Parts: sequence; C-alpha cells; structure tokens
Amino acid sequence: MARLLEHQVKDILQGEGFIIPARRLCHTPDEVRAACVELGAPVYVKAQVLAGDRAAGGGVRRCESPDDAAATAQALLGSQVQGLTVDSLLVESATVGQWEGYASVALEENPPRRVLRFSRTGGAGFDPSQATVQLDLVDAVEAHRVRRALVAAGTPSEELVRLTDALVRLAQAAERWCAYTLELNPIVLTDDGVVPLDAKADLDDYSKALIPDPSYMDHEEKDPRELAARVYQAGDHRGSLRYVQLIPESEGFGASRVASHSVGGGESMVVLDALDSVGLHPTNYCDTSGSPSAAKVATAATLVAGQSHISGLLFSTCIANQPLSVTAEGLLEGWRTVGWTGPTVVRFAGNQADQARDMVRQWAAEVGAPVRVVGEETDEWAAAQLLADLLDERRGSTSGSPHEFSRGRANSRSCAGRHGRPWSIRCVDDDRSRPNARRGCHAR
Amino acid sequence: MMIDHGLTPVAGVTPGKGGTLVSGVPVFDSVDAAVASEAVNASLVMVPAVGLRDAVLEAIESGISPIVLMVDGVPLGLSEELLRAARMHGVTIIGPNSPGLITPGKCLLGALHPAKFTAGDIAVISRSGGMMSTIAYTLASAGLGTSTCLGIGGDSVIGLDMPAAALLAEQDPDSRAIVIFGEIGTTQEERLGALVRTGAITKPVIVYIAGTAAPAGIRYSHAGAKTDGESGTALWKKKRLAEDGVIVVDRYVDIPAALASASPKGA
Repeated sequence: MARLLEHQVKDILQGEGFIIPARRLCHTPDEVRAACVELGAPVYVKAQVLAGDRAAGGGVRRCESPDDAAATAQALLGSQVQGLTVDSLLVESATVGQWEGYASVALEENPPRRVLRFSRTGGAGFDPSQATVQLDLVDAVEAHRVRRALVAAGTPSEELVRLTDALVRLAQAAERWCAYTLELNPIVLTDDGVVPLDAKADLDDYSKALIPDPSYMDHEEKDPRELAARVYQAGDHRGSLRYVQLIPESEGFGASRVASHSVGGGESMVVLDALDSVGLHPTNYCDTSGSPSAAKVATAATLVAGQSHISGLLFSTCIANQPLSVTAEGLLEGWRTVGWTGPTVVRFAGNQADQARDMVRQWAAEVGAPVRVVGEETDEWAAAQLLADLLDERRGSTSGSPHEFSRGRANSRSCAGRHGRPWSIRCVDDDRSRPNARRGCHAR
Repeated sequence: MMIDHGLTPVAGVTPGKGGTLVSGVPVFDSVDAAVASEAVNASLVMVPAVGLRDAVLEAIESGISPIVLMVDGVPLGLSEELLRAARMHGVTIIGPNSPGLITPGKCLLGALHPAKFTAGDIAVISRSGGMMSTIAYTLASAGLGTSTCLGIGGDSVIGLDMPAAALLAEQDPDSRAIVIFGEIGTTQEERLGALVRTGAITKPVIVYIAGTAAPAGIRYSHAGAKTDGESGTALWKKKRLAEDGVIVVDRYVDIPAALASASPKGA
C-alpha cells in the first residue's frame, strides 16, 4: 500500500470534483507568510507527515495573521510530529460549515468488499464503526442506493442531494484510484456542497500502472536503496526484489546493526524476529524470491552489503524451490561488487542448497571472510545467534575500528540521482539475460 | 514436478494448442472442452498477469472449484472482480499469491515440491509459501506428517482465507490438529481466534505469527503484511489468540513440542 500525504489526496479529490479549500504547499516560513497574505487570514498551517492524529501532535494550527503563520512555520519545519520530521506545510483557508462529519470508503474483509461510510458527526477520534451509513459496495456505486441509505439514516431532505453527490464521487474516486482506504475526516457541509477539511488515502501499489496519475506513488521510496530496488524490479519482473530501509545510514554505524537478506516474504519477517531475539538490530528488510535472476540477487546484495552502518550480515532462505545456486551466484557477485568481507552467516535451505553452500564456502576461503555457512538444520534463531557470536568474537579479537574488514568501492559509479544527489550504489546489469531491464545506475 | 511425483493433471488449457499433448497430458483450447472431456475437479491458473482475468473468469464460468491463483502482484480491483465473480458462481478461489496446496501422496496443485512433504495428520495453513514448506520440514524432522498444506496467499484480498481454511481442516477426518503460519496485518488471525473461542473449531490450533520485530506502517513483501497502529501487529494478534484459547508459539520451531502437549477442546 502507498499512503499519500494530505495535500496529494486533496489534489486528487479536487480532480474528482470535490470542493477543496484554497491552499498552498510551502517549504519555508517566507512561503507560508506569502501564502497567508494571498489566501487571507485566518488560515490553517498543517504539517505534511503520514501521521494519524496530527492535530493532537501539534501538527495542525490555526493562524490569525501572516506573522503568526510564519512563526508557526518556523516552529513546525524540521520539528517532529508523531515521530515524523516535518519538511513541508499546507497552508489552507479556514472553512466554516453547518456541521463536521465523516465519510470514507474502505476495503473490508470477510468477504472482501468496499464499504462506504458516512456520519454527520466526525473529527479526531471518530470511530468509523459508529457511522450511521454503512453501505456495502458490491458493484459500482449507484446514487439511488446511497440516497436510500442516507434517508434511512434520517438525513434532512435539504442535505440529501449534496451528500449523495459527494458520497458517489467518493466511491468512484476510491475505485478509480485503487484505494484500500479513502477517508475524509472531518467534512463540513456548505451551501456549495461537502468540503473535506482533512483527507487520507492508501493506494494499492500493485495498481500503480492503472491509476490516473502513477507519480502520486513515487514518494514512497525516499531512501535511495529502496528507490534503486523499486526501479530495478520495474525493469525485471522475474521473481521479486523488495527492499525496505529500517535504519537510515545517516544514523551511523552500530555494533549491533546488521544487514538482513532473505529468500521468501515470510522468511524475511522471521529473520527480523530472530535477529531481534538475540539483540541485533536489522538495518533493512530485503527479500529476493520467486526465482529471480542472478543479476537481480546481485543488485539486492549490493544494496544490502553496501550499507555503511552495518557490522555484520545474515542471509537466510526458507525451504525454497528456486535454484539456490543461481541465488548464490548473484549473492557473491553483489558482495564482490561492494567488497563485502564482514562477519556473515549464510543459511541456505531447499533446492540446490548443498551447491549454494559450497559456493559461499569457497568464496569465504578465497577472501578470508569470517563466514558461517549452515542449512535447514540450523533455524533462523540459531543462525542469528551464530551471527551475534561471530560479532562478539570479532570485537574480542580487535580493539580498533569496527570497520576492520574491507569494503571496496572500485566498481561503483556515480550519477545524478532523482533528488539531485550523487548516487554511488551500484546495480548489477546482466543484459544478456535481462533484455527489458533498465540500464544505468539507480542509487545514491 | 506434478507428473514426476505421480500427481499428473488430467488436462491443460492453452488457447491455440488444443489437440496437443504435453508429457502425455492432453491440452485443450478451452476450459469447457477440458471439463467436457476429462474428470476435472480443480484448476491451477499459471498465466502471465496480462491474461489472468480472462483465464480465471473462464474457469469460474465453467464452474470448476477450487481455482488456485499462483500469480503475485494482482491489482486490487482485479482481485475484487475475480472474487466477486467466484462468489456469484459458488466457486472457491485460493489466492492470489498462493503457492498452492498439497495433500502428500494424493494431490498437488501448485509449486510445492512433493519430496518436502510427509503424509500425516497435521493440517498446515500459511500466508507464506516458503514458510509452509519450512514448517512441513520442521514437522517431518520431528516425526510428524501433514494431512493437507494450504497456502492461502499473502495478499490482503484473497479468496479462501485463514478462518475458512481452518473450518475445512476442522471438518477433515484426516486432520487431528491445525498449524498456522500467520503474519502481521489483516484480521484473519483474529477471526480464527473467534472460531476457537466460540467452539466452532475444537481441534488444537497452534499459531506462529511472524513480524513481531517488524516496524509498523511498512508494507513488506506480502501485500497483506502491513499494520497501522496497535491493531494487526504480531503482539496484538498473539495476545488475542492466546485469550481465545489458541496455542501461540514464539518460534515456529516450537510447533512440534506444542503439538505434543496439545489436546482437543473438551478432551
């Protein structure tokens, strides 16, 4: 799922025919001051972070003058709201309505279906299960069914047309934008119609190619390694590569910080739990499964092992069907690319596991890396403990820098990244086996 | 793989290839033709995403049930459409993103290596394909076999879900206990717990839930594995399940020991 920021959802809603208050997206106090002058006080200054109740966290403030707005911006920008750093603000005209209510379309289970909800009460803390209208959308939304539900909920006649129009638009928008959830809370009713004062959306990332403007999902991977993984996956559909940066490199090296690379979505979760159980902190999540090419595994391995803040690495597979010798080939290619020779535990289980283990053992002997190679007889928790023991041994035998192992950069290239920063993470191209793959560097 | 292990499918369907044979299996131009000619009672859909909708709707309209969807990355709207069509026709969909199912020695529908599964009396239901094989291996290493292993798929919108699959295992005379591989996200584990609490499931249920250490708010590999707030986290699910009378283990390798001490409700 891809969660959108408020200003993005409001842009989408405006395109879907909703009345949205006049607003400006700002990044500096001066921009906020100018926006307040342009829109006219009072305005609301709202932190654009993916947090639940931003108002309770001090992220939504009413400002009565441009000076007030600029001072509020000064305080909010760079601060933390619900644990998230604020780097942009939405300045929005204050809107007065007849009441504050709630409207949403959300995907529910058992059976899977979309449910349209509406209430004439709403706001922070509102429980959607208490909505007075709860309509299963078994097919395309129909206005007469929405009207029937609104009438049954006691909706005054003079509000019926405006509310029906808004709820039908909402349901249609949720479908067009492939949303798991599209929530407007609160909404106010004005003479012109329903106005959303706040809005959230979770879109289906499997539907990116189907929605009206896929660029709305591009903000998801801010981290350059996440972005590199996504770009590579988009050009090579054999198997999957999923990478999530759990601890940013900017937080620096940590003796208990280790990289995680697994085969299998469930296995990757198990490995996170196993590392946690022995006091190690995974800096990332990485899953390469579904019979990926060696080049794809190699790209993942460069992302994983190329992290500057790790002290060790755990690679582990579920009992996999995919040919693990191919996986091992990619793994070693990636590690060679970034010069990884740090403390490592490798756990291969499944198809061609013996061959894969031998390949890693041979590489470890060649480069002199402290590596433990195990199979399915060693579960993930035992493998994590092996890594913890290996790190302890290394700490005991060296008193200097934790970076005593080499991590060469000879093969990395630089190019301009999407955010204008020089990138030095290297992807691995295998043009012979990946005709449709994009080429070039994808990384920081 | 199916043929190599004596679990030969009765027919294949590839439009334009009707009348040919693949490893001795007859190929038909349409699902209807296959159903008319052979004793078809299940379907495994392994087609590229671009042909998925067409292939699944054809199978649904032919009335085959169950239909296993191994395809990963199915867009939300398409999953909804296919499941809606299946419900209208009374057809059971397993998946999307399912590794398939196996009853060792009897039936295989999917990409599961039969050699990794030992026949026995433990039903396994999993949101992860690889971990289903891993759990079957763990059971076999402890001298325990499996009755049926069912990969329900890792998406949030799926056909046969965990509670429904557990009810099938409850009714299965070949299954004495139910082992579950759960994950963060969705409400499946919570609804399973309610079935145990209310007595709809009386066989011992042992659950391992992955993702205790997975930070919330992130979508991992499986589309369904995402939490938002306390609800849906591994800790939340474990607490609820334990309160409902489900045996919850912290490590899947502890499942055999949990099975050894488990007894049916009321026994």
